Amino acid sequence: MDRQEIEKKIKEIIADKLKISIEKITPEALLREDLGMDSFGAVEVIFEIEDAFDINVPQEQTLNIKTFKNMVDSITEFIAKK
Amino acid sequence: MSIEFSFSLKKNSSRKSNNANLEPSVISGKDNNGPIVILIHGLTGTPHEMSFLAGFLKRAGYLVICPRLANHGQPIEILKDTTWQDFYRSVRDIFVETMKQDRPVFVSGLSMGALLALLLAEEFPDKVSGVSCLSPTIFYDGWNVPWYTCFLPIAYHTPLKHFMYFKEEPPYGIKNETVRSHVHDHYSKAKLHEATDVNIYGYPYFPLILLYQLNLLVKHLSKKLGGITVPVQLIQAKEDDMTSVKNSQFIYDKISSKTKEIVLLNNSYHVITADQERDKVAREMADFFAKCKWK
Repeated sequence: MDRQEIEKKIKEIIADKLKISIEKITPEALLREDLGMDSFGAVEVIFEIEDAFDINVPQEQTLNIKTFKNMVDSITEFIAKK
Repeated sequence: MSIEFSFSLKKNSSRKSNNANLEPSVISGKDNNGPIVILIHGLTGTPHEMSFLAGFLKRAGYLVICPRLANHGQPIEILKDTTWQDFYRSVRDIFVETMKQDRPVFVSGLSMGALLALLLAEEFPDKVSGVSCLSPTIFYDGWNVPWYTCFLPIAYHTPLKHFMYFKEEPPYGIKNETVRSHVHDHYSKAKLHEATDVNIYGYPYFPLILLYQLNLLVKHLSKKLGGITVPVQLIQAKEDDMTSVKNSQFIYDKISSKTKEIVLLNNSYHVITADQERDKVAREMADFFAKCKWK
């Protein structure tokens, strides 16, 4: 799976879980401030990502993710290490 | 933990709340048809400390409600004038509302939230299907509690209790270094009357008068423990920095429940819902609820 496909899937998950439009999810979008992702939303998104890519994302890895781009980078890295 | 005094004479009414629109509770799994779980956060905490458990239980099919305790998220001057009865009312009102849905209801709470969960079980034995107590707080006797804490009851009987605050300091009840450092970044910069994002991170200061309220709640609950008959699970870390495992044992010994268990964690501190073994906590809780007879 290439980065573009990963990015597309994560976008769909975020849009679905946070009930926002996909257009709002730009690379520089701040997850909390721009997309309204609170801790409850983050848990749901991460669970869904774990299922979609069959990976396990440790809690500490998620704490430093600020933007959508950060998230795609981290998840892409996890998938590559799988 | 360091002590600070604030002799601000500003009346509560003169301080405007900047969080007037805080939601009274966070609900996960609205479309789920399974039982209801009420997850109660701790004193000076926030519903966010229960978010991992909420996500886990939602996926297991539960409808999860995380109530916000009275005045949590408001300026500390408002929070500090709140009584334990106000805190209990916050969860009781939601519990009574859930009863209308005619679905089994489980309750769980962290620290003081665990005591409020037990009070619900005592008041509604025919409605609560089971309770899971997370790091229940009866005595502050953990390894990181300052020695002078034993003298605090003296201050409860003086006006000092209205002006004294404890500043939260590492490890903040968290063993996981990354999570702790994240909390530290926020708490270490906080000033007593200028704390921001308390509705997300909780309060970096702990008013003594709330410790007094907790003490009153403990006294009230202690008389009621023998009347608790619903299944009760107690989960606590062996290395809990705030409250030792004696707290869970105390409750276990006093309650009359036929089904009761203590689960000890090996790699966490007090805030077990966000610490290294949060997955284990969630699994143990879900397994326990599955074993309980639904009412």
